[in-house]
Amino acid sequence: MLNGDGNMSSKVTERALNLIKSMPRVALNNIKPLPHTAFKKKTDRRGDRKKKGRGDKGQGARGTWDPLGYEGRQNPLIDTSPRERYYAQYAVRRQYPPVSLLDLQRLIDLNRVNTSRPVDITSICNTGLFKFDISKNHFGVNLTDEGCDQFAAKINAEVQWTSELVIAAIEKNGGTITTRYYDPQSLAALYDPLAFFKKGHPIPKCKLPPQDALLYYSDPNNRGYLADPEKVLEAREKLAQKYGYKLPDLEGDPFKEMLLMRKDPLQIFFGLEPGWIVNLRDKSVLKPKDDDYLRYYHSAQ
Amino acid sequence: MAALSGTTFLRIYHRVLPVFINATRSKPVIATSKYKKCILHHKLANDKVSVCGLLSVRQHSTSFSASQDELDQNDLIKDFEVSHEEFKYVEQILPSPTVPELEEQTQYPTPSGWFPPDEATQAQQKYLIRRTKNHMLPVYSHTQNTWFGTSHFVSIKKIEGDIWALEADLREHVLKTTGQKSVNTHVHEVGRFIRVRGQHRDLIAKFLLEKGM
Amino acid sequence: MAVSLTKSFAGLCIQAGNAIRSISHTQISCEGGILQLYRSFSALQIKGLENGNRESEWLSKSNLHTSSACMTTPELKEWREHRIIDRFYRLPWGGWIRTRGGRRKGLYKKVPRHRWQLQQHIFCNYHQNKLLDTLVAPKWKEPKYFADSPYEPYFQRTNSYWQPNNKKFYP
Repeated sequence: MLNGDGNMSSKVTERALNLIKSMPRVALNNIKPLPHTAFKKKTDRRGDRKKKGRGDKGQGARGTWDPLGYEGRQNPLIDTSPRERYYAQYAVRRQYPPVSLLDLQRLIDLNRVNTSRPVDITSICNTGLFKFDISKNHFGVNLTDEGCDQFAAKINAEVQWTSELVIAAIEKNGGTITTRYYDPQSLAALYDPLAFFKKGHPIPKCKLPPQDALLYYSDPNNRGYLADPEKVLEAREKLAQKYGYKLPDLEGDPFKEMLLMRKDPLQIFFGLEPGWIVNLRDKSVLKPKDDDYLRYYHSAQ
Repeated sequence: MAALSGTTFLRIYHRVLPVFINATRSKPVIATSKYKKCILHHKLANDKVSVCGLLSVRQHSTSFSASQDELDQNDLIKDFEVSHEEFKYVEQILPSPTVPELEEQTQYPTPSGWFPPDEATQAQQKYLIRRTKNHMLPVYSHTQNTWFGTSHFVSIKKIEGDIWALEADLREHVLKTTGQKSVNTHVHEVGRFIRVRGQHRDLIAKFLLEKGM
Repeated sequence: MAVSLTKSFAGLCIQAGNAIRSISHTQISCEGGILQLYRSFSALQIKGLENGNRESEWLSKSNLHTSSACMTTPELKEWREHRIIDRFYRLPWGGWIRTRGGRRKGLYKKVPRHRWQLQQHIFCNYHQNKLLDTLVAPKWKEPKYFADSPYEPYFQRTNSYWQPNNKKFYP
């Protein structure tokens, strides 16, 4: 095989390719499946008669192996270890798969995520690089602080869980961040909006967080979506003082409108209200006008 | 949408009930509410009843039961508005089917540390390693667990040019940096990849980046 | 500056039904918190709808998405060996941790150092890790992403040749 400078790469390869050149064309009459794909029935039964390949006596022959974890007659580790509630309520606890600031910066650098619009869970899922699964109790994204020193993008981020350092890193660059709760039905629409619209269901309204999450999402220090906006602004200033950076002026920012875009607590998509139905084929949106219907979708009841 | 001709309607049954029109089917899907909870009922085209798979999530405060109901003309919503202006918000949410193209940046490396391949240095080499569709090096590590032990490999894919020259360079670099006496490699000329035994992913990637790949 | 910013903050929310929303600046405290929160949302005025007695609506828990620990069923849970899951915790890299026996017994006769040692959670050895991995279903080996887990610092190994913390991206 010749490469760029005309040297033969290998004698073996050269011979193999010359062999192939001299062979007839591949056709149905000169190919067969690989040997390992065909199941070879065992025809030699000489060894099967007496011991069946199990050897002489003992547990191996009689199938009376000790159960896994058995340690002779000694009390095994799996019984003697004290009980500890490591997995308390594992089936019910919410999980937040991590996406780091480094990942996010990489997505922005490679133009996978559009920073001129708010970056939320849908933008992250639409890159196709992060998968979330409702059946595994994934209640959204956890923005972690790996790469917080390298982060240099001004974005309006909306995540489900984050830490103080991440909030500082984003606000230092002139962006804003909100923590926002979505219930599983809304998440199904957010993780895969195309599949959701294809079903033809009305856009669901987002429910309030459960009791144990309500405090987190009402706390201005976490930039919760249910928190008082005035207190959020105070918290921004306090955090800037704590971490020692100058808080960029949001008032005079040309992207102020985009950075202050927030969804209604019942709303899951920007620009689309709960209760509307999207028609992908005709590229239209249906808005029912019935009173009962609207009362359901515009209230928390 | 075929379903939404002038004759198809949205339906309310029992109070609060969103009716879900399935855009791909001709028959509407009905949802009913009972004790302020939502029961979803999905009526298929062949009249079989099944519960929508979407709502089989246990945390949700809705209960699911399938009940067969007939369409009642009086219960249908006839009043709805069709809007084309708001569809632009839908387009903003939908994913793009292909990987977007890169934009030219003023400064490399970018904040996350990315930089494009250096074509000047690449031209001086006897081989070329193409970047993946996500614009990164095709260097991967994996472990193989067998009954005779565990092996760690680093595989370099998408190699063009003199693969044996690359193998020689890699071998020399790994021996020099790690100080080990030997390194095992597997060269696959037809598949255009090399596997190097050991946990040397960072070393090999750094070596290739220095070569401009 | 702050007042105008809050106004624009609230004003730039995309509103349901093209209505103007005014989030009341009530302090959300622990005790009266939930009621006060509801009161703040009852200030929502949506065009075309009657403003009935919203407080009673909100006090009913109909829309609250409350996760209840008792509501899961055995079929929905993952198969597991109880003796393992009750006592051991699996770290994503394949290690298991457990507690020490006797950490609450006879403390009066134990020196402080001994008491401290018994408080520690310890790693299992290689063979124990292999055994415990065979005793649980594959779903237990998938990583779990609980928020604020106290074991997070131990999810990644340090200074390990066999499980190095390589860089994520090249370049």
